[in-house]
Amino acid sequence: MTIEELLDAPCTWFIDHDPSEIAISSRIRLARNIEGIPFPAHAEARQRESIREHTLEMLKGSTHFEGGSFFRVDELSTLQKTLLYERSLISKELAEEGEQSGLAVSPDLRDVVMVNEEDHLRLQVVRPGLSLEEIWEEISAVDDEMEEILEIAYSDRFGYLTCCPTNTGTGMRAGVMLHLPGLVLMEEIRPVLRGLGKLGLAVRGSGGEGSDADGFLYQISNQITLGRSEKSILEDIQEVVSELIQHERNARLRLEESQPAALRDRVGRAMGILKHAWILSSKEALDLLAIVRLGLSLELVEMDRAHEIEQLMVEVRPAHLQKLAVKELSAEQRDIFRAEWVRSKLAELKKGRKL
Amino acid sequence: MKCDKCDKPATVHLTQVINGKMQKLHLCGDCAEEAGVGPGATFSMSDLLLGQGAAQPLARTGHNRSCPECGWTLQRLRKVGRFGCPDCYRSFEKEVTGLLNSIHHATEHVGRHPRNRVKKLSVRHRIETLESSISEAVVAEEYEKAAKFRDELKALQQKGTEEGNAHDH
Repeated sequence: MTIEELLDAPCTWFIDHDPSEIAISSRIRLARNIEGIPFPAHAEARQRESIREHTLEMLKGSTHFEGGSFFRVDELSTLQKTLLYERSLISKELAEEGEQSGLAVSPDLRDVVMVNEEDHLRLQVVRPGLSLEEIWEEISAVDDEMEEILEIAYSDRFGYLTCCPTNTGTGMRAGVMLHLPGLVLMEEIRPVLRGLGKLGLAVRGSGGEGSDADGFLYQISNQITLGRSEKSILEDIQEVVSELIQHERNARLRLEESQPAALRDRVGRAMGILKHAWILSSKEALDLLAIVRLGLSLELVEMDRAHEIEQLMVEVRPAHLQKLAVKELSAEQRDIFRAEWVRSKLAELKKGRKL
Repeated sequence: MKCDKCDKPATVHLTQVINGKMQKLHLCGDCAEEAGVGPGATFSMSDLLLGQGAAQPLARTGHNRSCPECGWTLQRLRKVGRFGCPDCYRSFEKEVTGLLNSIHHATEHVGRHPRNRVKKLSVRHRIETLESSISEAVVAEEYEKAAKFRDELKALQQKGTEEGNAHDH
């Protein structure tokens, strides 16, 4: 698959959901390194180069990646790299730098290996919904295969040896992206987030660090990687996230019960702005689309192809937008084009009444 | 006030609480720079977590010690909070243990391990454990225990050699 084909393929883990789905996607990544070679930041260019070539070559012949796509990240354009980042296929760091870095994507686009990110190898599997258990099965199989073809740095005492001590041990970071507009609008999100911190879980907005999450999307993930098995970490996240989903459901019901007019007003205004605005920033668009998604889930709005709201939530991001525009756009041009794109899309999705 | 390490005037003053005891360290610009805590230094999480880096006697812990495999220094580990290569974990084992404990409240890995090495590693692990148990027993003057561990260790090493030889043929 060429990079263009890969970027044209639908972002399967994000779209095609029922809008009432609260868990958008789950992700597990494993940090792995090759024995006897300095970590990428400290390695010489030729060492990084040889790791990349060797690893990509080995992966090409592996059962999980055979027939997949393989890229040298530094040969991609900035826009292509940003697109990969916006689709969670590569990290921000790789999108910004990526010297002698590589990327392997399995044919079904679910399994990814980043080469020469902070660690030599970062395996990542993303799936829609709350599916940590399935992902763990899958990523373990990929990991098994990696261990057969590469000498992975491991110590009996410390586990998998990683560049940063915050990953030592399992090398695993597992997270679930949740859509939590109910808790935000009921002003209950802050104590919830604080509570998660106390449980040793990290929360960040999908737009990065900071408390205000674009589109009410929050990523919940583990922080501890040492002294606890992957299974027990995953069970913890699964349990907490299930509770959180229940909280969000409750919050939505209470929202509708206690503030029916305010809720409809909010959803109606979001629709109004999205349908008629001429300038939309990425954050504004995401937040408003998220409100519309909430409206869809509570059946306050009807649409022909409701799941396409989620596709719009990907399309309004800067790099995706420029891909749609088929040209580079300045920030101002982007905001204008974004509004135009959203207007035309919403007109296609029609209906929209029922508040 | 003079620098704790040399006689120049101290310009950097560090205060830290370790085990409930407040410790102060006064350094001149040069020594502070060398220790990675100079005015221009950015404090990373590991600076704070490693703790001792600032307040423990710097000279004694040998802050310029480096990893024989990749040349990464302890000072850089403290400053950037990252390792240079997988072998750094062995090279700075003592510091690593403290660092991991402050991040994860644990120092031993539990969970997945590379399958193909399970057997070899567990024997090695057992040997290492026995070796340290022996020294501990000796220090505690529990010689009977130490002898028992030693016999076990011998048997294990014997087995390892035989297996190794078997593989060679």
